[in-house]
Amino acid sequence: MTIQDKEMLNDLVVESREHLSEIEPDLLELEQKGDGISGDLINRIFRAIHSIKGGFGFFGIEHVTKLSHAMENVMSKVRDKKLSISPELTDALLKGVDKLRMLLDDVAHAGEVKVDEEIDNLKPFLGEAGSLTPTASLRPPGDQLIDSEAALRRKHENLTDEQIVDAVRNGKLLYQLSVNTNMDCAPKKLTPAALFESWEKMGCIMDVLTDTDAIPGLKGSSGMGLKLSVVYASVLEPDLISVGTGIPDERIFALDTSKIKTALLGETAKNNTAEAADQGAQVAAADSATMIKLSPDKTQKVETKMEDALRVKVNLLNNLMNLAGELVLSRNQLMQSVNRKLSDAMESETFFKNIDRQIEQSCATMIDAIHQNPASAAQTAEKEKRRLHEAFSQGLSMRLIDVSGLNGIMQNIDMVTSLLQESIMQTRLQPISVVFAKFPRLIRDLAKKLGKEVNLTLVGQDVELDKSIVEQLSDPLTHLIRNSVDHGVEGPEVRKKTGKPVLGEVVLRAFHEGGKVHIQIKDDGAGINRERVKEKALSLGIVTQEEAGKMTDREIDSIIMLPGFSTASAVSDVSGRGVGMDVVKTNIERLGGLVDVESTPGQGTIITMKLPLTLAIISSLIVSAGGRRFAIPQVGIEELVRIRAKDVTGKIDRLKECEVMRLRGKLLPLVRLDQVLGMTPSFCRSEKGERREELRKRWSDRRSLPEEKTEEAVGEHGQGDTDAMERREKGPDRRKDLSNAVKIIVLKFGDRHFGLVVEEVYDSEEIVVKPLSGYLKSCPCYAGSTIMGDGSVAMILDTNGIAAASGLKFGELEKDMEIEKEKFLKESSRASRELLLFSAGENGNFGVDLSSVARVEKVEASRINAIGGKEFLKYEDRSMRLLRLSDYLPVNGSAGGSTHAFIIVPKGVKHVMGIIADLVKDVVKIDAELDKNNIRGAGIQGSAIINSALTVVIDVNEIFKTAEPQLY
Amino acid sequence: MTRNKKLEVTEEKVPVEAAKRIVVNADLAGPYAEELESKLCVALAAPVQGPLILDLKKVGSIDSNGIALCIGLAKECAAKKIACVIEAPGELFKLFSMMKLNVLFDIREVSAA
Repeated sequence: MTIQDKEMLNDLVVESREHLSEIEPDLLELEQKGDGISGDLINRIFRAIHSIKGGFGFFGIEHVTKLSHAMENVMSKVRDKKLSISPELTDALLKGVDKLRMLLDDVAHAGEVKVDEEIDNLKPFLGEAGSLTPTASLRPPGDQLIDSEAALRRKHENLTDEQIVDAVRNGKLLYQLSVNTNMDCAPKKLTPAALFESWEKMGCIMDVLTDTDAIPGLKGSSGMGLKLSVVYASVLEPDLISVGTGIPDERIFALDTSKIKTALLGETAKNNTAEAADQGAQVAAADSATMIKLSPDKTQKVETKMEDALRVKVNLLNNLMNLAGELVLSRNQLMQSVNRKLSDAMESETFFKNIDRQIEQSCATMIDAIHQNPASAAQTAEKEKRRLHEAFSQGLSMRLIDVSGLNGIMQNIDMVTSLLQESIMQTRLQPISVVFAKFPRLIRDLAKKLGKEVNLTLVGQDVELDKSIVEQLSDPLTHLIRNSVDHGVEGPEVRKKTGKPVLGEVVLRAFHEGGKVHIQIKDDGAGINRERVKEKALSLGIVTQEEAGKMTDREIDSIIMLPGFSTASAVSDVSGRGVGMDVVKTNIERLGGLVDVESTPGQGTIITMKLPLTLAIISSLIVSAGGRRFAIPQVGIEELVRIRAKDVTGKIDRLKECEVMRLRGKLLPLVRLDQVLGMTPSFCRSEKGERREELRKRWSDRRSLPEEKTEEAVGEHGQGDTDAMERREKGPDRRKDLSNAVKIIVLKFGDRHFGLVVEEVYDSEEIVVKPLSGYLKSCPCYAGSTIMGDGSVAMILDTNGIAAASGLKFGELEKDMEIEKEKFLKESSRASRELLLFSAGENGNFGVDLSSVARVEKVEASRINAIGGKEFLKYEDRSMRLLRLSDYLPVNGSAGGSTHAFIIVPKGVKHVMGIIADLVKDVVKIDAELDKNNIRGAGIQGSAIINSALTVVIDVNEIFKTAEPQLY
Repeated sequence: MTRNKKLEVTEEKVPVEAAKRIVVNADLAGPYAEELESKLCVALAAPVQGPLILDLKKVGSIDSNGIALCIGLAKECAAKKIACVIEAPGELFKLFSMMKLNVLFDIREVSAA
């Protein structure tokens, strides 16, 4: 097979796959709508199967031809209303589609795949009359795979390029007809001449070959009939050619003329550039149905009816994308360079002003010199002249680059480059319908297998995503759809019992939100059985009994994403192996996306995947470590934390071998980027601004000079370290330098988090992702590389890889962290706290955490208005709801009569309300632990004896929640 | 097949080339082709000195059997190393040319009788 032959066969396979992908949803629609369907849909299926048959017939790939022929015959009966659509028929046809797909996957070995079963499935629908095997006698010989045009040329060697091109240019389709006069002429009492004459009325006979080998000699020749191969050009469409010529479909092969058409299109485009520009041929995968019609006078002026799409090789698009990326980087470098020069030019303007001043000074100096010492005036003048000349030369060289209009040109280049990059990126976008298309079939088959009734609704099929993402979405979506039907939607009986419609609903929806594409799989099934998930998690040892008790609904739901977790009691070929959700999560996270599960028991489950539009350009945070810059994809960043150098020891601790940070009551494991990457850690020397090698092994290692040495420090380093400390350079304490603050990037790693400690945090940037070269593929810490505006290379960090390389053992760490957390909370409850003490009601002594109080207002009691049983105060030009603690806590109300009241206004609450106090007594610091047993109730943190009085410490948030539950 | 009259075959010697000319004076279709086949078999049974000329001047129509017969004749002549010439009126000449039968035998266009 020649390279061209292979290319043409590849093209045919691609086209046929597209046909198959169209046939499948059409068959399902046909089944759904039944016999009432329009002929268009049936014809579309028929034409698609026929095209496959025709194409592969010419290539001599018999099994594809045989199966597609059988399918075509069945569809022919459906078209002629001789056969009704039934689920069994759809099954048989869909199985045929599956087998064809399998044959196309390895077309070179298609002959080794048996198609008898699929053909046998179709036989019952054809009855006796249906022919199931094409009898094309003029098919290219043996197993030689040759393209249709090559086969034709070999057979019909007299056929010229001009003839073919002329026919195509005239909008004709080319067919090769295998005529057997005994079958095609004799029964109709037609002579070959009469047959040809009738054909000439609908087209043009381009070449006829007579199989003379079949007639060995004179004897018996008169009864033998003739076998002819005719090349026929006609405007008749493939589905009509059989009717028009009287030759059965199986002996008609439609020739692929797409290449000729494409070539002609190119010619047309040259002649009609303006017209071609209008067409704006978009580069996208699409069919090649292109018609060119020659105007009646057959001049070069052509009337073009063309589709607005072209088939473009993915490699070419990738190259374009790379080039666009390079252009963006070059643009960035140019912009930086020009901006630098322009700022120099600005400086030169200042410089000229200085020169002006210098001229004045020089003149004054010279005048003085003339007046004071005329003899040396000439020397002074010469000196001043040289000085001015140097200043001018320097200023002039700077002015030279301030070319007129350069700024405007740069802006234009910037804009055009961005537009170009955007457009090229769009060429890689594919509608999500490419993936969605297979799910109606999947749902149909699954529902049938499981004895359920499920309707699938597809929404947002035109939402586009990068080709590479679309290709990798198939597996995760398949798992989710399977799960929805298998575990989500209940069987008909259960649904009836629960008052749901028998027909279950699965909605697959794609939409844009927040610059990302969201894909949602929603079912109206039973929802996640959280008790069962917990039980299974306990039995698998994923969680402890205690942990399970504390888990939130969301945390329980997220267990289904863990590897090996499944609540299915039996493993079936549908689901239950516990690999599905894990695969979903891994695949989506690999694409830079997130998976979210939301389930309502009895009502259903919604699984949302959030994906970036493209993987080629990502938003990232630029950081540095070891003096080098790195890019961290924004998608994995949770937050940035900066700890002042002087606070480091208080906030960062060690837990076994790992450094951890206390972040809002939780312990976050820390990983130092420079250590993970094997770089030398550094710190900033405040007096010089330069970076020096960091000698400390941990943050808790304090730089202590002998006179500052504390007991703790000695204990920590031991005597052996004293000398080393003394050797250390004396200088300002680096802890006081702002640049030595610890910068932590809180990263998500699955459901877990860790902090990545970096040297510097720069800016967020849109970066062009360059794949890693083969040499670096084994480095788990890197996801790719990019080129920065200054031309330097920055590696893109892989969050998962860094977590793995750092050796973080989350399992062990979490247990320790939990213990630490409890210890921390216990300590916090014991820790000294400042309380605002006040009285409210009869003998009511209360305390409130001072840190939660915004202010205390003393107001006249008459300003408090009671409306509808509630009290309000005009506060900062609006009304504020006031609460009396006696209404919510077990204390008696106040006797009243006071002319003033104190309003305690809390902070950090969702909806501000004021607490009415009779008297604000004091602010005290207490170290005692609150007693949580003596006085209990909603809104009470605990109680303590303060200043010899039993004081109830209140939780403002809880009290507000009790008062206005709808607001909290 | 407009002229379905009885097939008459006239065999004549052409003195100049010592060729045998077979003149067909009816349409070459259906049973007539079979009849002609047997007559041609007889004609070729005897030694032929020069080329064999099949004169189809009077043939208005020819079906696939007739064409197959012509091919069979040409193959037979080739086997016996006899040159075969078919004289055909315009329409038949066009048909034979279209079917590339000129590679098998010499086709000469003649006016219809």
